[in-house]
Amino acid sequence: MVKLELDNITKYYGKRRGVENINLSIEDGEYLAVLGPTGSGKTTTMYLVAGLLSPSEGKILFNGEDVTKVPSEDRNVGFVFEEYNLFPRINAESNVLFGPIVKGLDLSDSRQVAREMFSLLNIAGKEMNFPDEISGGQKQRVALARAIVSNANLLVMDDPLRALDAKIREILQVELRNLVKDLSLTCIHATHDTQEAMRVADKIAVFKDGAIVQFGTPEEVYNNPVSIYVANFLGETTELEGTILQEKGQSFLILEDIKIEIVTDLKSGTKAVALIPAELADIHSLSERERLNYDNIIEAEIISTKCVGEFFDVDLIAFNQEIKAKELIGNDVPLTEGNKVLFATDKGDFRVFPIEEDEKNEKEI
Amino acid sequence: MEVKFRKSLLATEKWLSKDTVLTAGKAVTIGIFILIVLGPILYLLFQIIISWGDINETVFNDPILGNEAFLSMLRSIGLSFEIAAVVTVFDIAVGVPMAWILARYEFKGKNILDTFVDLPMAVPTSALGFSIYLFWGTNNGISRLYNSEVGFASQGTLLIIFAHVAFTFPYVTRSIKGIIADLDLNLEKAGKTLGASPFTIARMISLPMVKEGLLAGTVLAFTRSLGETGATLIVSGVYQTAPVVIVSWMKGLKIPTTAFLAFILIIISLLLLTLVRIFARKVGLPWNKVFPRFERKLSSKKVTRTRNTFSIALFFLFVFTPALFVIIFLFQWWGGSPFSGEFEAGMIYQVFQAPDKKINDIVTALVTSLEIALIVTLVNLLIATPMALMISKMKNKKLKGFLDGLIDIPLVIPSSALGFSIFFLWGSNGLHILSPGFAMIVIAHISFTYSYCVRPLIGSFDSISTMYDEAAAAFGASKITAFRTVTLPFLKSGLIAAAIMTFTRSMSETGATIICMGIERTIPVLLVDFFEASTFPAAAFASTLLIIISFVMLILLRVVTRRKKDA
Amino acid sequence: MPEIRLQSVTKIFGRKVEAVKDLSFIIEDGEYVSLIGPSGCGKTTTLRLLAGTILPTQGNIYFDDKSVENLSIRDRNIGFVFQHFAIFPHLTVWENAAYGPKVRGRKKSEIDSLVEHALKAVQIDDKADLYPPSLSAPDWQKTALARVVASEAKILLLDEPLGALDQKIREEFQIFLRDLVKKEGLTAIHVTHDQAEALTISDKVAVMNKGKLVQLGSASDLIFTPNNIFTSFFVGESDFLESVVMNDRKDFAEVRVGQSTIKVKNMGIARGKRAVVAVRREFFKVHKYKDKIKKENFLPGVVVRDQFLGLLRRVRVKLENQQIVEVKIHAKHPIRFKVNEKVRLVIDPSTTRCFEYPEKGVASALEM
Repeated sequence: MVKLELDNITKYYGKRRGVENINLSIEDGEYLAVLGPTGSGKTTTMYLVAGLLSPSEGKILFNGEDVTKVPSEDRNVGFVFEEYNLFPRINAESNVLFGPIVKGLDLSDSRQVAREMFSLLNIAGKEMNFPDEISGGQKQRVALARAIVSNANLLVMDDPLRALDAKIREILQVELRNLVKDLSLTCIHATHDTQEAMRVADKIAVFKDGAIVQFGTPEEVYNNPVSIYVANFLGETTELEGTILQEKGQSFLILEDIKIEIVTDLKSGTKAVALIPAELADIHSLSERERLNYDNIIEAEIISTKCVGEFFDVDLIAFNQEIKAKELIGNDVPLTEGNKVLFATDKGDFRVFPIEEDEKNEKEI
Repeated sequence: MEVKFRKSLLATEKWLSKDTVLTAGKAVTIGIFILIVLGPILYLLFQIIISWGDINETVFNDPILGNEAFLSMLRSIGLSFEIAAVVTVFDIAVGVPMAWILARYEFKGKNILDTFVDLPMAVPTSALGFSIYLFWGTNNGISRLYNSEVGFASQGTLLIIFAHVAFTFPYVTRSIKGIIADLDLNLEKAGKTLGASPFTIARMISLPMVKEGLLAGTVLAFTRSLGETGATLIVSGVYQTAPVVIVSWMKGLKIPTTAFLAFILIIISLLLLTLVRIFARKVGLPWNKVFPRFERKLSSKKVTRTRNTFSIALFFLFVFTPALFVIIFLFQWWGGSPFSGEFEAGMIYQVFQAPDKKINDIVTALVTSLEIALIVTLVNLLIATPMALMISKMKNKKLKGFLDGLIDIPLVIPSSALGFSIFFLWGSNGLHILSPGFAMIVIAHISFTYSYCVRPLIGSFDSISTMYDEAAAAFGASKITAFRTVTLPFLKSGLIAAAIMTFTRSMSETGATIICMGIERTIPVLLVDFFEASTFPAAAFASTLLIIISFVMLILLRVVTRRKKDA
Repeated sequence: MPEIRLQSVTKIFGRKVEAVKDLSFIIEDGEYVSLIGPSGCGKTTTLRLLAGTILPTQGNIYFDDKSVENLSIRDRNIGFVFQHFAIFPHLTVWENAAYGPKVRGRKKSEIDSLVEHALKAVQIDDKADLYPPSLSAPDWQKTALARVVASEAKILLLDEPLGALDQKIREEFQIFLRDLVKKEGLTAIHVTHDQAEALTISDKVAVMNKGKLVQLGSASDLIFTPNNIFTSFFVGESDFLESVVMNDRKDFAEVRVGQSTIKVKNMGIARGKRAVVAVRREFFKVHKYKDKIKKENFLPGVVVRDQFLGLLRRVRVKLENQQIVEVKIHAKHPIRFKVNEKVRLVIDPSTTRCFEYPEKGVASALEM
């Protein structure tokens, strides 16, 4: 098993930046998610770790040992690709045994491990099937088995669930985490899907334009996004623009005639934007006012509601503007269009950022 | 008025799209194919059987020679096989690394190298053969490097091999270059992360996927070598390969023996084609034993670089330079002999000033060649397009595979044998409709260029997504209307590419032409005549002319096909 | 009058691949219906059967009581919208839209007015003279829609029409598409792999699995009152409790799950029979075991993991019978559960569904 460190890694493709100054450290047995949109440098990072690309600058260390110059075939990294990349002309078992064969390992041992992996991953019975005879989910399971059976001590996955149907994705997220933890592998998993990252990982590194913008446990990252970019990437939000007021140890955002209690260190008079994540924008019926225990409660009007499965997506008017809210189904809230309701938030729900010129530009981009 | 016209056009197209009409159309398409391509071969087969007595007498039991005819047949076929085998081995050994270089590396001049590799395919083999003879076989070429009075090799087996290597070389490289370029690099990445060295990956992952292409290319190279006439006539001397024997027996009007030899050659080619088509997928490389350390060594940069350098060097030494040497020769002999300085021995005198005015013959032959190529191209586009469409759209996989295989026949059988079958069917021994001459050449050329026209068109049809057809159909367009309004605009560049291929192939053919030409002369044949008359500078002039024409065609083809890729 | 009717339609590819099995349903005039299901469930085949690009092996298809199952796509007068647009690159936007009426031999003046209306309806009239390669993906899809509107087809078949568009544009397009269909009075059938899209855009959603129709209903039918195990599983997330019906009351049934007895919705399963209770993960309420709560309709269990996901929290609980179930709770739920903490999963009987136990077990009912 292995501890992985990336030390100031930079990769340029000609003049185009792949990643720049990446510093990462993953403890033995830790599950890291690399989260970012397409083109943010996720795949580049995965390829660098696996040795499929070599960095323009910086070092990669496995257990403190510099492997930057070690070719991919000698790194013992199990790699799982977005598009499975199973070898098309050989069956599932031969795919899984490819690693042991080319490494000249003892095949009878490897066969045994392969058999266990097939049953662990619920694909027992598919050993003799060719890749084009099994479903996407099964293919990715075979690819996972192949990566592990090759004696990998580090598992690298590049958006492994992207090509799969939502339902399979959801099932595999749970399976993946359980498997990695059961085998106590060190794992690095790139994804564009925030919920997937939160669901599988111990730690998350958020990527933007080839650089890490935030690193921490899912909860740390979610509760304290360092920028508007990160906050928006983590989920749907509504932006409220106003001026900060510090008063008797409490902080407020002033929007014309409305005062919202928030948490911030910014000075009074600073122009600021407060983001409210849709899932933290709570809705209650008017009659509940007395029982509620929130920092900010205001009357609001629902303008549209749609149910998309686990949530109701609600648009409502509060603070004189349109706000997006998500309510888990199963809570008894009157969400009919046109209804007057209570819109309730806590001061800690708002992610507050000062408005600076660069940040405005960034928003436009 | 406009509406009326459009309505009647739509109505006509609707009528043409009726299942019965379409079926009739398909029948006609297949009928033409049988008449033009299969007919002569079947007729030959039929004749061999019914006139077995004659053949038995001339081939096996000649009152004077006994079975000498048969023995010389066997000798010529044996020689052809030996040559083809050596040539194919060279093609694979140099052609595979070359294809890899062209598909995988990015370097300056890659496009030029790519064009150079294809060039021998477009240049008429008689010009190629002549050039190679000059390079290897006379004191004008390679022997100058070591100041020898005679050539490096005299006419004979070695020279035949050199010539065949040159014109068969592109087949292997071409048929796998595209496949290698299209291979999914991610599979190789996957192999790498699993611990395989580049050589192991190439052997275990990439090559199995290139296998069919490689086999197809090998068969083409082999059968082309087996069946080539033009270049062989020039470089063979008394050593006679089977197709050359056909031509010479034909000239001696030994019809039954020629028929029998043509028949054997056709059967062998067909057998090879069938075997490959049947077994290409099935024969695996179940070579799972891996020697990690050894294979790693083979993957080292040093070994790889040496291999690449060797391939390119061998290509230039054995293919490119000899093939184009004639141009240098032409300049050497432009105004006189480079040895004696004698003006009468030079190209200017021989072509333009000598009493026989060879330039007139050259122009006439060139015009004949162009006329033939033009007619052949137009006719073939007309008859090949429906065939290609039919094969591309065919749902029954077995039937599709069968037809697809039939299409390849003219590609693999020796053109002199095919030419002979056509002479046999249409001429005085068969239907007696034509005698050797212009029309018969046209028919022979249509026949053997048919595949060159159908093949790329099938590819074009396959590449048009079916959704466009479905979209047109959803709006009520009849099949023919959909073809005119949707498919045809997509097909434009494919048609041009097929036309150029057909045209070039027709321009450069020798073997079939000699058999069917009567008193007509095409330019490649005229070249052979010049060679046999030992007027080398004139031959060089004609060769260079042909090479230039082919080169222009090749560039055109590349421009057209590249534009298609960009679109 | 029913607009589209499928009656026992079966499609077998080759000799034995049953893509669609005995499919029957009715889509009413002017309805917007989405087909969803796992890949390979037969939704695309169903769409192709309706279009006529493939013909059924058995069964009948009616458009307005006219049997069409033997008509080819040419004669069905439907509008088909492809995921990859299939607009003709060599024709301008205007010419693309005019294609339908043109090949049907309409008069020039008619074509002009049809195309003009269509281009306006999809708001692409400003780009009429441009060629597709110079346009963006959303404009390609608009062109494809204009082409269908101009062809005057009344049935619109959409095969993953938004699949090639970016997420953000997708959401805008969903509203645009629904409005267009309603304004033009079309009957639309829309295949998608995106559940949220299906639930947002359509009047009704058909869930398919293994070539069969599993359930056809409104979004709220599928979410709140699924009528079978697969729908409960596929639309959103549910857990399935194997149980035996003990008692059979007017408002609820009592079932035994492991050692506990709970009340669930009475869905007519006889006393003594095995049953599967489906509970949406949002509908469980989780409480510390020691908390006293009024409604004592609960299952005891221990917490395996309380996972914070921002959007919500997922608490995995191991029941007495060793089954692990999951509860989705608000991210700000006041209590953080510790691993191995004893909890009660409180169940509101009205939110549960109670299905007959499938012959081959629950897992077989979930197979995709």
